[in-house]
Amino acid sequence: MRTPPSFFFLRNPDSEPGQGVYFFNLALTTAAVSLLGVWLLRQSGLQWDWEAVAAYWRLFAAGWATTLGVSLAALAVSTVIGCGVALAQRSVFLPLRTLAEAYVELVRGTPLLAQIYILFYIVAEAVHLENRMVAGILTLSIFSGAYLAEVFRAGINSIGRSQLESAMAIGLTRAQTYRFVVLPQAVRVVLPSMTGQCVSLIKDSSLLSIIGLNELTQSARNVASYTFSNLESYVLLAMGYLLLTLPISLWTRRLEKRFRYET
Amino acid sequence: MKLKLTNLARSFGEHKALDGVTFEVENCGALVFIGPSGGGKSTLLRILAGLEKPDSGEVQINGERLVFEEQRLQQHRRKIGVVFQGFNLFPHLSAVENIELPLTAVHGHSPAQAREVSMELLRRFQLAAHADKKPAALSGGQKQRIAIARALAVQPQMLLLDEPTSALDPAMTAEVLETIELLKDQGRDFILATHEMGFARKVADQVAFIAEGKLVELGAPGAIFGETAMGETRRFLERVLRW
Repeated sequence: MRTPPSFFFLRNPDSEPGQGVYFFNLALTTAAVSLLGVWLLRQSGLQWDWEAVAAYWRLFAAGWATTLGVSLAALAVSTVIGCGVALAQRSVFLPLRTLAEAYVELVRGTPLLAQIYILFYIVAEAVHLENRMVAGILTLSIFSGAYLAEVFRAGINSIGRSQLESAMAIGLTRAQTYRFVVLPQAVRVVLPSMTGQCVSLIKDSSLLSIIGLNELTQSARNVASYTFSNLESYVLLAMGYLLLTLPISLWTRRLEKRFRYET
Repeated sequence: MKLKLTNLARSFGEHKALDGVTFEVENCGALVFIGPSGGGKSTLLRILAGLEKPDSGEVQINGERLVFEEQRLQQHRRKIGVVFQGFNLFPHLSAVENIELPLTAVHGHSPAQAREVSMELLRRFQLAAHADKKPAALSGGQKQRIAIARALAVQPQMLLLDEPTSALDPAMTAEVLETIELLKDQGRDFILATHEMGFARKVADQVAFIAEGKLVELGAPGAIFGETAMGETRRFLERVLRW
């Protein structure tokens, strides 16, 4: 017996919802969450004052732009670090391998907050790196690079032995094997976790405010202290980050569809 | 093509996959390896393909000794076409791209040249209609024939086929065997490991019976499958041909 098309149910977890049905459900959940929000606000009895905060919109915009720039730069650098370290972890030259492993464990095992302090007040000081922006980007890259290295390593490991053997049999060099066989297949595996890491990186950039970098979080803090409107500033702050992270998530969902092929 | 193996041995832990294989053929032609699974056919083919290094022994192809060093092996692999039991096509590439990859990446063809060579082969194998499909959209028989086309496209010195039909149903097996028969008709040198005894008998110029890591017998198909075969060979064939 054929079940009639449903507004709420898919036939199975892997089937694709029609666009109309999908947006209907999206609208429904958005409305429900909004209602809950409104109710909570009413109950809390808060007085909102957006005008004071609005006067400082330039500060917010500047902070947002800095966060965007720092994140983009750190994303690029950490991708390079991640690739290099993932390959180093597979190196046959043992010192390189152990160095890469130690790096990953050290970075993943300590809080970003501590890393920022150590890198800024010891390492950056030692090499006379005074530019906070550059120091911040490098710190964030080193932090995120360790996570990306693990993501990439999992991607490389997901390629079966038979594929590597096949590449070998047709006479590809090691570099060519990575370029033509491993990477194109690994991208598909890696994409979801890479998006997650990318979104984390953007949010983690907020910690750079502690070395006095005027990014979005620092701006929100400043505005909050000028205007005494803590809540308004932090709501704007949250929205500012969503404005950066949501497009990434949506974009990678589309990419995932494009890279999808049966295996 | 002349092939000479001397005392070739290879162990995996305690297991002696190859236990001193020696033989010489003046003209390879269609050489077929038969014998029980785990007897050493695959290991022998993989060594000839440059995918595995022997523990000891020597391989000579046309009088030239095969050097088992990575650089030299890479050169060797480029002159050999290999077809695996599991097809081993690249799943992210279409059928025609699978054939093009070694041509453009390794053999210096321009993309246009590679496309031409690949499409010509696909047409000859009656696969042209499937050129743009990804492996997942193809049947096992089609995949294996594309794998053969990929191995053939680079004009290899010889082709090594490791149980190419063992993962296929009878109809697809027939389809792949027909393709291999085409190779025979073209007079290509190839070595085929197979359990298809009828086909081995029909297509082989020479048959080698390999069991327990040793070459038991090498001879014309008429001799191996006939009354004059040695005891061990005969017992094996009687058992597998009985049903």
